[in-house]
Amino acid sequence: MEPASDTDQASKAIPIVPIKPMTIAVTDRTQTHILFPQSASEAVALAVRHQAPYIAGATALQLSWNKTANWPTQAIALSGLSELIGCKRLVSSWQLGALTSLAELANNSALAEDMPLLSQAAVSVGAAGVRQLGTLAGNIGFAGDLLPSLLVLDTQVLWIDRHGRSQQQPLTQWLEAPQSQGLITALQIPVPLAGSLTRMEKLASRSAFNPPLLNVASLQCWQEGQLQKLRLAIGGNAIQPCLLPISPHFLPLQDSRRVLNTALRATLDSILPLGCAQRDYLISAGANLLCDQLSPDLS
Amino acid sequence: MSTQNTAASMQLNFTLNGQLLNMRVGPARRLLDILRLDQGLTGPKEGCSIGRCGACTVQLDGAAVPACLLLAYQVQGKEVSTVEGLSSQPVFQRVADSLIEHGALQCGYCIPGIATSLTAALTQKPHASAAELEQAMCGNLCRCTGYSGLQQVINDLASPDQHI
Amino acid sequence: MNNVPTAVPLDQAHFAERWSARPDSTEKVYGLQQYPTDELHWPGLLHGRILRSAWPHAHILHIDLSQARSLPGVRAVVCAEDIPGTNSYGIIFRDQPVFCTDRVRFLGDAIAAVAADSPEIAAHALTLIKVVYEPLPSIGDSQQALASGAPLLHPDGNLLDSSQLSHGDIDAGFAQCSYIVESRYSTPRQMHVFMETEGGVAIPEQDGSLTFRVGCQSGHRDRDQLADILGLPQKKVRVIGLSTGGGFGGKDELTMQPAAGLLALKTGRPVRIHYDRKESTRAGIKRHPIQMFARTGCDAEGRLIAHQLHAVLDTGAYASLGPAVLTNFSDHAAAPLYRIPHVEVQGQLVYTNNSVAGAFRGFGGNQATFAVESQLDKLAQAAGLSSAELRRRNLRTPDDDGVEGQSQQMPCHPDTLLNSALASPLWRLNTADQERGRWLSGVGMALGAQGNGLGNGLPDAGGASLRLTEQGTIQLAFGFIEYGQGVVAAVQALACEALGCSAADLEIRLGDSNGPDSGPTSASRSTVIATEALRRLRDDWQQQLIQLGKSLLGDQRALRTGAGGLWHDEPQGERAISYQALASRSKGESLPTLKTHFDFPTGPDAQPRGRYLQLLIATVARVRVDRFTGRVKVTHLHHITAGGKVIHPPSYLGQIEGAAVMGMGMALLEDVPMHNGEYQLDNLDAYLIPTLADAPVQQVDVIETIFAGDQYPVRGIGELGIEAISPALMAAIQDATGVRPCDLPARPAVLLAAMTAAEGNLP
Repeated sequence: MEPASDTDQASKAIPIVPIKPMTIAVTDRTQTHILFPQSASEAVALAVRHQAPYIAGATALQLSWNKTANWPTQAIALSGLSELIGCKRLVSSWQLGALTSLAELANNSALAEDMPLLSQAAVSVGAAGVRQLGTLAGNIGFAGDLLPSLLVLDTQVLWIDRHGRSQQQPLTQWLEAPQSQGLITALQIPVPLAGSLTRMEKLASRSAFNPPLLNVASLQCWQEGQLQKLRLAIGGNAIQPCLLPISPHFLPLQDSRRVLNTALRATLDSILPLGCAQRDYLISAGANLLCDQLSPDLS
Repeated sequence: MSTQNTAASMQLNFTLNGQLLNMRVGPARRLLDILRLDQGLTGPKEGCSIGRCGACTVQLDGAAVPACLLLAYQVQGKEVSTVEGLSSQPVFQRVADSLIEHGALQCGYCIPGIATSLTAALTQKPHASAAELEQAMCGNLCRCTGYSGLQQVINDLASPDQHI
Repeated sequence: MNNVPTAVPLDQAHFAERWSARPDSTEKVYGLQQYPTDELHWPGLLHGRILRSAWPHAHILHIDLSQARSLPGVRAVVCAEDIPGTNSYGIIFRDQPVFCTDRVRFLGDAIAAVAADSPEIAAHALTLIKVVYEPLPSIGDSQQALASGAPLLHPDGNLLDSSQLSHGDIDAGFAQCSYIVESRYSTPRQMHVFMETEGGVAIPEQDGSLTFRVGCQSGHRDRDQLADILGLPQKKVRVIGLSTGGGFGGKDELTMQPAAGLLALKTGRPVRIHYDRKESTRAGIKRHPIQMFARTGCDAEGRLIAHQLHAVLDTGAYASLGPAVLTNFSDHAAAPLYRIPHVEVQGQLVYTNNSVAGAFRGFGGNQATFAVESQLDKLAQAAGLSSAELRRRNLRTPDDDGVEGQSQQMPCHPDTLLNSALASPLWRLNTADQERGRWLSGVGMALGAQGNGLGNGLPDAGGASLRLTEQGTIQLAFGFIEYGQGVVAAVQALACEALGCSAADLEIRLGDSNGPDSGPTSASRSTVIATEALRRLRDDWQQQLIQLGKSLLGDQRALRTGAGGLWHDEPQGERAISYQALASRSKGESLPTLKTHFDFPTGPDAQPRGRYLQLLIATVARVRVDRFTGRVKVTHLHHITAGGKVIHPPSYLGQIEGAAVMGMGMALLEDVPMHNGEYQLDNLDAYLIPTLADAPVQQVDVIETIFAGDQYPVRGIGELGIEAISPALMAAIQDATGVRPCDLPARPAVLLAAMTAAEGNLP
């Protein structure tokens, strides 16, 4: 907020770092109307008409609205939409409703058996209380902790576009160009083949309840001693979640941990944005964690 | 321009500490404000306003959640319990007795939230292990005790196979 | 009581008779305790908010409240013009404005305040207050503040205070040394993070007086300042310090009281202000960040010869308790546990446009101890000695004076603690490192000392009142405030013993400025004052009651005080008369009413500085360090404490454990980084304190014995647990990794980089 115009003195050149003055919500939560669609397509129609955001748990959203002191005049509540609820095991994949809470993900034992990676990732988010409220869709929308794990699992996003049409695309594509007013209804995740090793780890300052500084995840599929598939992914609050650009032959080329670690560092170095906070640390620690995930037995 | 002219409102029905309530309220009003300001229940407390400290923990359909992050419309048709309502339940009393016996509180500001979380965890999983109870409690911060008393409470209440 | 002191584990097995639940446990667990910020029931209650500065450093050219005042639902908007009395406050110097007039010096400075019908309207009203600023260059650190040409933040410049403590000839001393180590150290701007932030209610009374029901640490002192600010006589201001959710020094100064009081006077209605965590971060007191440079040397046999420590403390925008922190820091920086013939400590206390730094558990002492103990470990390594051996050769004895030449009363010889620490099972703990050598284990220790009281030479008095009420309760009042530290439990235990009654007979009143002034609830002084007060009151009390009893009973048999009343003082004697009966039957006879007021115990002779009553601690720490990420997990802590007699074991235990984890937070996790006076974080999503999962397993041993002739067997242990934890953790980290962090918090990033560099290869 600039000082009023009659203070020309104030606009004289003074070497000061401009900062945002203290503000409280001008539009605050008291003015936000919540709309309650009865179906997913109605939700989309409302979102398009009002240019309004979707809210599920709204845990991250309301905090960002408070921070910018700007609540929307309308928001579209997704609670209770049957198309977005429920986790089911299909023939060789899981379909997870967008409204699945992180707590449900963490506590679903059948899912944990098929995809321990996802349960592990879910438990790494926040603490038990916020996991009750946070949802899959919310986590995706906020570059959350789950994304690296979802990426290595070749997750597909099922969603409805602004015209009401059902769509499906790989999560990688969704993240590159999320469509505004597009409504994620579910995620479809193929069950990893037998012989798959999956791991994730969250880089943490304390033992629990950490902000998403850096998450790394990996999936290796070995069959008859041959590496058939390798996926590595990273993400964090300052790092756009993504798969690491490595070739399928990446791993066998590394004949010692040292060499592997160096190669991982180089890959991370090429991915992480230059201005990113704690860049050297993220490269160093990220490489160490991925290296350990890939080669626990290598010397 | 008055805030009240453009205020949004909805008819909210939910059960609070066993009592069916209906009220006219802003749909995005925080549950914590409904409890403390409107209903006069000061058991749940405000420690950070962003769901990072656990002082506002209440139970929503039996699960421990931060009331500062719950919007009014999200409790429509549900059951909310605060420490005031839980106090007559045997599981809560067992938790409370253990907290008191092991000196797990000093200033006490965090303890309604802690008691509420621990009660929810034990009610949902009566044979929870110490590791599971610890996982349930990491979102409840305490600044006074260093958690030693709470560690003992968890060992006390957990299924005896694994202790911290 | 002068046999060889032994350290006894502080647990139920060894302290069964004294073990009891805190008297306030049940109402707290059941959510029935009303904290100052729970008082929402007052009829006509208004919600107050304070407008904070938009710039770290600026002139204020214009303030326009008109739009805010005309918002429907707003009942008052106040600024400096509305202050009837003095527009300033501060415990040592009243240099902090209640509301700024022409200048702001940090982002937490208050400009104005509103009271409205709802919190939302109050928040909205703040946005309608128009302030025109002329931003000024901000001073982001002490170096900038002391540079020539820096803007002056206060009339006398940016150097608020300096300290100089020296013995001997430091240069000559270093010339004699065979080994010298030097290093920089730094400690962070830690935040108290009491779970209940600053807040309470100001209530205008019918008779024109004002009552405050708030979270604070010193009701009488606050009352005096509030009376001056609000232009009221002191007897028209009452401060009731309710049992509050944490203090740790952060509620020592006035917080929301002046604004709430002013709004209450203006509106004639009760006004509530409760800082949210962001506001508490922005406006609240912090621990002094300290930059240190130390040089320490010994001879070929490991005897300490010379020790030099220069420090700069960033005190922020206003003075608060900065000068007192500097004094205590300097005392500890001079290595008070060790005999060193040549010592030089210099400290500078510097104003900046950062958060105001002030009282915080440890009070400068633990930051200094971090540097001193670290230096000794480095020196031991250089000299080829174990850390323990270097200490053993240099420990001060209880007969020695303190570093400021003051008499000091140690509880025992420090080598008792050293020996107990070396006997700790933590040194031999077998940990199975399960993750293929990923986690490196280490053990380390450190020693520390802590004094009680505000320090000799400073006014440090306390008092109490004691009477038998008409209802027959024994009403004992202190000015102290309960904020978790357990004063309520200690007073109950002390009173039962001194007065010979039971807990059920007592009515303990705390924290009312209309009652006796016990001095501030800080500086680990409350238990000492309470013990001394009861000692002074005890004999008169018993005499008066017994005399009353005899006259009512018409019986000259010997009586003694006991549970529920007076008892016949003979074998198998029964109760003679209850306290209730004593009271109800005393028509016309005045019931015993006693008062006492005295100075905090100081040494036998007049001393200018330093603290007389000393406590000691040794902390042994076991850690695991993650080779891949540099993260440190503290697994075990073992404290050996010499803090005098244990009054209420669970409270003593809880205070040591809690202080240790708070110190662990300072050592490994916590900081409020500021850049050019701007905060880099504002809440608990980025300011991380230890969770349950971070908590180590702790054991606390106590040495209760004191020297014959020590008249003060009871000491205050509220700060002791934070004293040695930081250096103990760094020693353990070094044991595990070969790296010794000198900058706190010891961040994983820095540790990993150092480990990688030290190892020269990748994991």
